[in-house]
Amino acid sequence: MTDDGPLEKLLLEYVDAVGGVWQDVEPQVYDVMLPASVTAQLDLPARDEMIRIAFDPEAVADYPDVHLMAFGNPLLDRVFEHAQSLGRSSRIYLTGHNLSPHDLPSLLRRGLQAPPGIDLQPATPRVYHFRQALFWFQATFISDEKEHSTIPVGIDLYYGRVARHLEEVLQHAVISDTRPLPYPDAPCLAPAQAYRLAREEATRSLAVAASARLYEHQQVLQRETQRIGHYFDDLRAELAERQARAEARGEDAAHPSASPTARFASQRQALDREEQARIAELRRKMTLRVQVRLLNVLWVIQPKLRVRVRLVPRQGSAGETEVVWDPALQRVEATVCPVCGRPTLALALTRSGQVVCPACADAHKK
Amino acid sequence: MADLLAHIAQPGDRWEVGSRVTGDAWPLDASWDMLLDAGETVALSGPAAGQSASAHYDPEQHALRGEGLSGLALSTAGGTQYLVLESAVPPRFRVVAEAESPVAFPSEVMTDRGIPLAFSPDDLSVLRQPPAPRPTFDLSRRAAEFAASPGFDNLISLPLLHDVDLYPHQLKTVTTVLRRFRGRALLCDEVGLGKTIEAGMILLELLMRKLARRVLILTPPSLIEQWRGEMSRKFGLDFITHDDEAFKALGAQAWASFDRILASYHTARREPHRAAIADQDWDTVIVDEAHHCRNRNTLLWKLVNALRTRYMLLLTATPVQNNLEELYNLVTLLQPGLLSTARHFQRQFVDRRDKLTPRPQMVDQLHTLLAEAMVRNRRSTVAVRLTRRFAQTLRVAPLPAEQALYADVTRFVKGHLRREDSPLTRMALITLQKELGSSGLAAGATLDRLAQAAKLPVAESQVLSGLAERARRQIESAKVERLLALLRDFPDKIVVFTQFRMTQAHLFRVLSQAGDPAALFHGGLSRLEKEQAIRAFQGQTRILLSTESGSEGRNLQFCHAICNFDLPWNPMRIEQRIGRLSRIGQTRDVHVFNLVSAGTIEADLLHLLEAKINMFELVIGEIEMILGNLDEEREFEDIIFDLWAQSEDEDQFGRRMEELGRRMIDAKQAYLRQHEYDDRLFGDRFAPKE
Repeated sequence: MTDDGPLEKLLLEYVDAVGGVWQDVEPQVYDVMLPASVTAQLDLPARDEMIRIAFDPEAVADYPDVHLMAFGNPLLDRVFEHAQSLGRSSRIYLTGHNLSPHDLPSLLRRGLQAPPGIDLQPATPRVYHFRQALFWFQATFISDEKEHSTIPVGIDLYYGRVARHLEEVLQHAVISDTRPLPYPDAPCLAPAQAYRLAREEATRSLAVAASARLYEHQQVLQRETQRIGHYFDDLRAELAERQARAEARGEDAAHPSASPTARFASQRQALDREEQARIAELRRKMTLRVQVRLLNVLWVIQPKLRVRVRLVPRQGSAGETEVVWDPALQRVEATVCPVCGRPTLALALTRSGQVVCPACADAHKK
Repeated sequence: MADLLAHIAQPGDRWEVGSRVTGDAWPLDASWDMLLDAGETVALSGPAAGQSASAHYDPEQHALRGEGLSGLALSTAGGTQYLVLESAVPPRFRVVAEAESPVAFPSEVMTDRGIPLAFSPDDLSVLRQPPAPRPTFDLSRRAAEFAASPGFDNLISLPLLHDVDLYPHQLKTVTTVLRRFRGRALLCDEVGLGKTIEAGMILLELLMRKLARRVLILTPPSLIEQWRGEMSRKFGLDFITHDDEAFKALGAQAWASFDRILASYHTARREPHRAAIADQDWDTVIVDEAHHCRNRNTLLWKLVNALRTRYMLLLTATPVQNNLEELYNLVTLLQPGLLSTARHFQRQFVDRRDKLTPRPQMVDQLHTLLAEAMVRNRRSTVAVRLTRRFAQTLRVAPLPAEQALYADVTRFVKGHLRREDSPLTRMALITLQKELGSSGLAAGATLDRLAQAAKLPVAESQVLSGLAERARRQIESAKVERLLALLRDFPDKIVVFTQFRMTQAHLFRVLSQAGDPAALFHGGLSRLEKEQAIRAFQGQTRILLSTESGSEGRNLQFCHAICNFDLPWNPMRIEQRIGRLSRIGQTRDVHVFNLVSAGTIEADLLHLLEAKINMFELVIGEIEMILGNLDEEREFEDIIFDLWAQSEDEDQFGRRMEELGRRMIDAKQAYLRQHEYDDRLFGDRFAPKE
């Protein structure tokens, strides 16, 4: 018998999660009682509120009514589906960060770049809860094989851009399920807009993978179609030779009702049909379809510091912008240029005192 | 608290607090305990003019409570709704109902290369779900991972295999067939390298990934039960066969009614089955011993060629026997056109002087084409090393009473076999004769039962009852004494095999009385009892007394000796017994002790297997090849039984066994010649590379 495997652990956790109870009968065999609503969900007969499950095929001989939890068992598929549906979305708070970094103004001045002669004057920071989201998309590539691929996409809902380091941050983070401190929320995108960005990013990733597979399929299709074409051309040629020989022997006169012409015409049509069928089947096999669905989304709420920063030139109008200090990564985040919309750590001032990126400042001068 | 609130909050700050207003309570979260005191009144104003409410904070529920709260929750025309507390002048809060306008996303997005990506319409519903607790979310993530199928580089069937010693070449073969050959392949491994395992794993991968559902396995009749057992035990896959009552009850309709079917060639190529099979859409077809399809003029080849199936595996250790065109015929079943037409193939690849030999200048090209459809692993290249086997026959002279019993029962059995009107079935008589070769006690129960057979004349019934009584009383046995002597001389752990539970029970008693108790293992034990028996054998108990079916699925490689107390008449079952110990993980040479009583069928059989074809020195699987070359449709044990039944006496039986021995030697020679030819033709070119 095998040791407890991950599948066994998952199933027992599922039973706990849906409010059921389980009891081990012997190693890898359990009696499970599920709420009536769950048995209905799993398409179990109503009388089967208690069922026996096993993870070892040998147990089936000892317990003929047992449900063997092996891949391919429709009950297991329904359990997976139901388990997935229980918690597609969740929310966590990242805590334990230093929200009062020492000498934050110096850290900000080091992280931001300003042209010479401009003094950066950070104001008192305020802590806000910033929202990010980690979307898990599942792509299914279907042709003559079926492959799933999971694409995680992090989105920063404050800036409305991809958050590439979100998974890394989560790995090292201290996580709370409840909001530890009642900091207000920073402005953020609506969930659907975040989904749109995530979907676009997932599409970009998938396009590359899909293209690679499509190329491979096209190569196979081309080669096989050519091969089938040559094969049937050869068969038709051989058929024509046999027909010519039969006609030369005068078989038309001998058997007018089954003349070579009619016979071979019928065989040729059969060959044509078979060729078309094989090519059509090949095309069907090599057609690539990609299905994408959102599996899970995790809303990640993290306190960060919002700081208003004044840019004061020696001469001319001062400007003001807002930057964000990320205590998890301990760095200032790139702010967004209000003109071009691109993220930038380099700041510049226009004559009118607008804080923009250097490229837009130069363009403004012109 | 008000000071803290004033410190944290400024006018315009917002907290999204959800939209669940239940009756007069509005749940917040525990962090609000820091901002609001118990019972502290909070004035709320709604987004519309004139809307206001007063609530007090309940720290136990972490909620605002007050009449009129529900009136502040505005419904919007559509879209996602959520409520926000916006601080006006702290500690005043304003309720803002915000709605996200309904958003529509195209269900399909085209990449720049024109590949459609179809997005699920249910995605937005995921966004709207209330957040689940983290353990539930983790469960959902893990369930998604389990349900996902990675690419064929990662085989997902591995954790589900039972009693399978996986060799690296098998893994490579499986990934090669799935990835490079796209599920259509000719598996031509040398014997003993596990073609069945490879086919089973490929099938399991396809089933688990839901790429296949309808499966048809075609085999020679003699291998049906072996396939069924292997698929069930090793892969957890149940198949129905055409012999099962449920199948027969449906007639030709059955082919459409079951998803996984095992059938023999004989049945499949006969009408009405042939038409019914060809009419189905299959996902996977496996043909074992596919050399039966070498000739494309046969019904079997035509049937397989007509099958509509996405995946196909042809298994044979001998793809070519008489003519290189046989190889063409097999490959064309998988990939028509790969080797062009038959005529072209002959002209291009076959040496005119020898139909079995490829034209020397075309060998490379032939190999290159074959490498797109064929895998062949060789023992010499897959580094499968097993320890040696040493077989010893312990021939014993039966006691006079045993000898007399054997002779009397034998006379009775032969007499009934030669009668056309015998009320006793052939199966019952074969079983009786086998049991007699095992022990008198084993035969006793059958003799009793046969004595009760309807239509048996009273006189004969009395004879049988008398024989049964003698059998039951035959406690003393020369074979048992010899076994005890062997166990005294051989100090290590040993597995003693017997076919029959009565013999097993008797040996158990004898060994216990002799102070050398054994652990019992048979198919009637529960799973836990089997585990306990093996644990005992791994521990202090020196002897494991096992029947055939009991020992499968258990690791016995810590032991290196077996004793066949009785001998199955099918050599492949003898090989299976030895194979329980002689396999990967065995570190020592394996000793095989064969106990036979002189003058029995088993003695002659053992002489045939040992002296004629050196069975115990053969590589695993070779005996099956030799038996296959006998060109017999009967099972081997039926051949033995028929030879014995038709013989007047021992001498005649001995001569007939000699003749069978000569045929087996010829079959072995033919196998060796074939093996040599395959090596010359294919070399090492077709081992999987990935």
